[in-house]
Amino acid sequence: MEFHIGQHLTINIFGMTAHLDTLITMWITMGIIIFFSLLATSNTKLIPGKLQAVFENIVTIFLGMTKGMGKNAKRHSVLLMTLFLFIITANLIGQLPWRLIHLPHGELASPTNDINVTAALAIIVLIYYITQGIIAKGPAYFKHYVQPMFFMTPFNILEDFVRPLTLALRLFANILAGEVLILVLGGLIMTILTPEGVMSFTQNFLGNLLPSTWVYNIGLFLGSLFPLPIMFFELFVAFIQALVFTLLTSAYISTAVAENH
Amino acid sequence: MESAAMKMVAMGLAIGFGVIGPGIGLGLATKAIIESIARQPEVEGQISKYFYIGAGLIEACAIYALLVVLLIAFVL
Repeated sequence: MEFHIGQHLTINIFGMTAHLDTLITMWITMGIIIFFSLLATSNTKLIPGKLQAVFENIVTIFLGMTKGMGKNAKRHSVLLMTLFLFIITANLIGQLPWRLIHLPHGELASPTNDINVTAALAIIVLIYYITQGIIAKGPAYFKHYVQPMFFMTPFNILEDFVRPLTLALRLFANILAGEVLILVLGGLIMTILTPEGVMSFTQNFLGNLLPSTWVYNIGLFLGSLFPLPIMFFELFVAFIQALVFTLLTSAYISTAVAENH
Repeated sequence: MESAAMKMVAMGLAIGFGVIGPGIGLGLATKAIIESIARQPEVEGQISKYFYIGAGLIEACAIYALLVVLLIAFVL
């Protein structure tokens, strides 16, 4: 059976091609986050209702994570919160049954299965931590390139390239690999469940107890249960990858802003 | 050998050798966390957070190998 990994439905905007299916799911993700955030913060009460308590908890967690980051700690926590909420919602939204909507080319799935989305997030992180380092330390920020020893300069410059690359690739590959695994396992039953095989199974093994169409449909249903453990694992992977991205970002910002004592 | 056969060999070797390292790494990390929880059960909540972060990073290396397999199969 043929798969088309990495094929997206493209449209032309202002002369450049864009992946329309990624754009659709990305805007749905953003819409969900913005909707719930507005709903939680619209009538803030002193004794919070349930949704407001959840969001207050999230804010507290991220404020605690950025406590040692100097003057602009609150601004850093905003970026970290945005990254975490966007990535976890984007990863989880791919587990919904989007195949019901049929696209002419490509499928609707997580927006983070497109390298463009994860690379954009990684570039945002790169630009953010470099500018925050320059804001916090002035031009003396560039002294960290020669920091332990003079000959470490190529490695430190390489690190500025490798960090966003690994951030983008880790998230993209994890989500894409999960989706490919689910596709492969889901399609596995079709190699076993041929019409001739079902006919011979009902005649020889079951002795024509059930009509062969029932056997076929029961076989299809049982075969569709194969990806179920992997889908549970994908929920876990979605959370872990969002956490790893956010924690690595906070580590990069800390090392860029840190005062040498 | 023709290129379709070479592709199969390349895909098998890539994923085969690629998950040796992460497999050993995850085994070592799990060993460390089980030993530390067995030594001091009350730090389970704090230490297991670091275990999951480390496992996520190690797992990513195995996924890089899978990404190379997918690239060989579908793009190159």
